[in-house]
Amino acid sequence: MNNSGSLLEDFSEALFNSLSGFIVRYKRAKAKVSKRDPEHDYDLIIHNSSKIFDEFGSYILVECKNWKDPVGYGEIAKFIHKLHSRKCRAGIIVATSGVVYKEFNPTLKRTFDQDGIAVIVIDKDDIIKILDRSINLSSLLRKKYEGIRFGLV
Amino acid sequence: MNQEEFANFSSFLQDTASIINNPALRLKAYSEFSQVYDYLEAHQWTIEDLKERHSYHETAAFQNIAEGYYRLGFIEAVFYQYAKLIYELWFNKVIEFQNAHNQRIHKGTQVHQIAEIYSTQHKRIKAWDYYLAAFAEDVIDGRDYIESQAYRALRSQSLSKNNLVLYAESIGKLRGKAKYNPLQIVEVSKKNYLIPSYEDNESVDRLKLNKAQEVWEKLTDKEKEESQNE
Repeated sequence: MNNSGSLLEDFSEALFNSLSGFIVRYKRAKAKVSKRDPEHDYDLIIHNSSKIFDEFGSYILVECKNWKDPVGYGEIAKFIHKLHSRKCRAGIIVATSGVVYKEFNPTLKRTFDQDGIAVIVIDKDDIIKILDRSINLSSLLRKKYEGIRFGLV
Repeated sequence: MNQEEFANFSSFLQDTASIINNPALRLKAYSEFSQVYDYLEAHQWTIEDLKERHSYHETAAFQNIAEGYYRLGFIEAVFYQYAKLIYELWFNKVIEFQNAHNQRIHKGTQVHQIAEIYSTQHKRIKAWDYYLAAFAEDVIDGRDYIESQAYRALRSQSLSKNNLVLYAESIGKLRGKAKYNPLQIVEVSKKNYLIPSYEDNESVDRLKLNKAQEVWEKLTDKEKEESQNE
């Protein structure tokens, strides 16, 4: 598989593996409730042993969306369900066109307020800044985490 | 300690080779430190005393003492600590002078040397902030920061050129508010994520990030190809 969607997963794997303490354990993995029925697809599962990101929890799920349009409520809700059911404290959506209501997404805010789950969104602008080294990846993740956790816009 | 005794001690401290080779002189360097420190702390100093110099200058009271102790640090680490205390005192005296006279004085030497001493003590988190402060001093005074020691020190710790250029641009905006104290500029810049903390900077593996960059380029090439085929 070498379409642009899977390349975004490959990219995200390489990106998060560059962070000390982050190890991408699984890529394009499936969870099944029975032999036939898949429960979830996971684009990436990161094992997190980084001390500076211990508030993210031991496992972080990553959803990759290389779409022309921003990711909408339905997909965000599905991802939040995965995080909730797998008892994850943080998830990352790598979406080249971002998500709807990028600046202040009420669904993402409510997810933290009610369940303590932080969903961080990384879009194309963020990726470009990370790759041209004008912002540090760790700093960007922390900035976005603080934004979600404390409701900062 | 009076003025004459201070001048004699300052002169004595310039002869590093003799002090290194003579335990009695080393003992003198140790034992008179607190008197020298008190003397420097108690006096009111003029701008001529406070300005940094690029070569030995009799009136550079703080710099002569600090550099004397710094050179001795090569043989005994405690002298680095003495040098750091003098650089800090010098920095504080300059801040007091600036506030009192509404006049800026370059403080790059003090903060850079404090960073160097922290580095020798493996206190890299503290050193990081002082190198950033030294960089800020060079930018505020309109120096060619690409040629500065602080720029080289930060680049050698893998802080990217792009990040330093953006930091330099942001210092221009902060100049009016924090022109007197570069440590304030560092605090504001870290707070606003203009520059990474030491831990954030260390946490990213550049070679692995290069791998991500390669995949990203493949992805963008693929997208171009797909859009041409549509």
